[in-house]
Amino acid sequence: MKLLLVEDDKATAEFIIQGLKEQGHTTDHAANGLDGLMMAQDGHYDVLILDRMLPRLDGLTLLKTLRDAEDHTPAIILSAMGSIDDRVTGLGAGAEDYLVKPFAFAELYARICSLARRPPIRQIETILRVGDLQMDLIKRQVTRAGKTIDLQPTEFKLLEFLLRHRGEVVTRTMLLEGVWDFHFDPKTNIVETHISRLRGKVDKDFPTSLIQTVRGAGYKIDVSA
Amino acid sequence: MSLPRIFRSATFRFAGLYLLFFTISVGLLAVFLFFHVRDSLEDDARNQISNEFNLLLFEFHEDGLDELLEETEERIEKNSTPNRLLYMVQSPSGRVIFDRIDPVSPPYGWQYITSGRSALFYFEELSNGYVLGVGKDLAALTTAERAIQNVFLWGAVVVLLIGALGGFLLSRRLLAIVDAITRTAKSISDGHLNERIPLQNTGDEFDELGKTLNQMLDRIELLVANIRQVSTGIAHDLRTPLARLRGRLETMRQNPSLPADDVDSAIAEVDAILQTFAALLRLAELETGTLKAGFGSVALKDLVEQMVEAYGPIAEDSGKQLVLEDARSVSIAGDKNLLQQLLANLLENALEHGGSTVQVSLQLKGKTAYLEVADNGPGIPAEARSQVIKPFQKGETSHGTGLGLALVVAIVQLHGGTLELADNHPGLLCRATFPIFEV
Repeated sequence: MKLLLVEDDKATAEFIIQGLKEQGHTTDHAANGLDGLMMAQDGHYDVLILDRMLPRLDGLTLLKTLRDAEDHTPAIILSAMGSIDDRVTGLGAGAEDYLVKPFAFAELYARICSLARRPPIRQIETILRVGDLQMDLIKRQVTRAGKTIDLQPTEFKLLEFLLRHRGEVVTRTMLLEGVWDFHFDPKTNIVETHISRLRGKVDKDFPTSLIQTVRGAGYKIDVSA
Repeated sequence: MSLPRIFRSATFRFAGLYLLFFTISVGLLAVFLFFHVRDSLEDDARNQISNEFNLLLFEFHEDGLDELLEETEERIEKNSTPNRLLYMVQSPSGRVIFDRIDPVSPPYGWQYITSGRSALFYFEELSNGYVLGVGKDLAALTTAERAIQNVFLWGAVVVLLIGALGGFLLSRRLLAIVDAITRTAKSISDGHLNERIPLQNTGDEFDELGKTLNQMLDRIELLVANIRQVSTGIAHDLRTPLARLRGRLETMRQNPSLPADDVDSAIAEVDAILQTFAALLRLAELETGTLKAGFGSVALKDLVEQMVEAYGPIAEDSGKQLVLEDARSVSIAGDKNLLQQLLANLLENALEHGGSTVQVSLQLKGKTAYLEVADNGPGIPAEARSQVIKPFQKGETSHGTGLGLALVVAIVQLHGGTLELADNHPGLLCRATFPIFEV
């Protein structure tokens, strides 16, 4: 992946660049909004990582300028402001995702990967598959190795979210936002509890486990390596 | 603007009161005029009668009774208008001649005659035993009285009509101004802080009031903007170093020579600080009321069902029961995310501190939605209930930030509702109410 990071805080930038380097990605870095805008217009990036408060040109204006010029490179906004208003305006400016500082690197990385793999025009899938697990979105039916699995509505949504991101790491926060539409941090382990229920139905009676825990990051549904 | 509303308005009441005083003063004027006119008319009649009587008495003294009778007859013949003076002469035997009225008896002098006709008479006994009387019909007087009465009666009707119309027009104009101020204030309390009272630029008292209120609103908007700026500043200036700290800790965690458990617990501490921070900023954001501007229609029933479904397995895993008792189809104006957070906080509290069963219900009574979360745990003593909803006050067994219930209260208040903590016999009953607005 080729990434552009526009971030004025040196320590945060180093932390992100270092993390991405360890994952084998090259990252271009701009320390202010104007440089960032020029680099974004020149280079072809897979994902833009934009801080919201930047010297010379703030992240939202930068992104709006790009979007006005028909540049639809997926972008994730980083912000120290976590208010509801800020998130709404952030997404309104054309960002695909919005992450409040501070964040775990794994959280940012999972979101970057998810954005990078997002197909430009999403074709409408009616059947999602991984290994011998199959989800029919029209019949609302899940089978594994030909056996029907009964799922509660929430479990169905959870599995659908995992399947739509098959092979990718999805974090706890991504699941809270995507499955439950929660934009706050509940005290209880909602995600863990529901994942464990889902595992009980999808993986327990089968020789291989599809839902995998990625330590320190989240979960992933994939055929076991 | 409906008609009954204008009748309830303060200006209309003032106009009515003014009208009442005005009518009373007009009435007093009428009474005064009535008696004054009547008195002077009667005085005129008395003078006329006295003069005539003295003339006739002079005739009698000079020329005797026959001359008196002749003169009187002549006068009656000369003047045959209905408004002429009346005459009577009564013989000592009681016979009455000329204008026939009932015989009179002493004491003589001024008398009102009412039998047959209504008249004022002056009687006096002559030296020969005869009684002479001169009088005047009071019909003319009564006509004048009636005319005055009529003038004032119709005058009163016209005064009342014009007064009522004036009151109506005046109150409509004043109401329009007051309405504009009320609308603006309502819109501001709904979170649109940039609204201002429209001014007419007439320079009158209402314009002055509007200008002063607008200046006050400018100030409030500035203060709210300052608070937001300060919170944003705090958020940026304190969260950024904390973010760096967290980043460093995360990098340290990769280092195998450092104890992973210690680093993990340090990360957890930082996260706890950040969580309190986020809750405080959220609380500040809620209290400005500006989030109201983003309100939409929220189907509470769906939301409650989703939340119970989300928390059901958590309850089961800890050997508890989460039951949705009753859920009515209710929609309120609100923010879905905030309402989710509200219910999440209530459910987490009930599951953490409550007993074996947590019951959730959503009811509709009149124009109010009642959202209840009840547990059968130890509950909270009545005297401590008002304390736990304040920021940083928590129950003895709580491990949270101490902001959970304060957030719940702020969210409920933002939605125009109330939160009540009550005894569930046994346990705690949290009842949030939300007004339902007709869309």
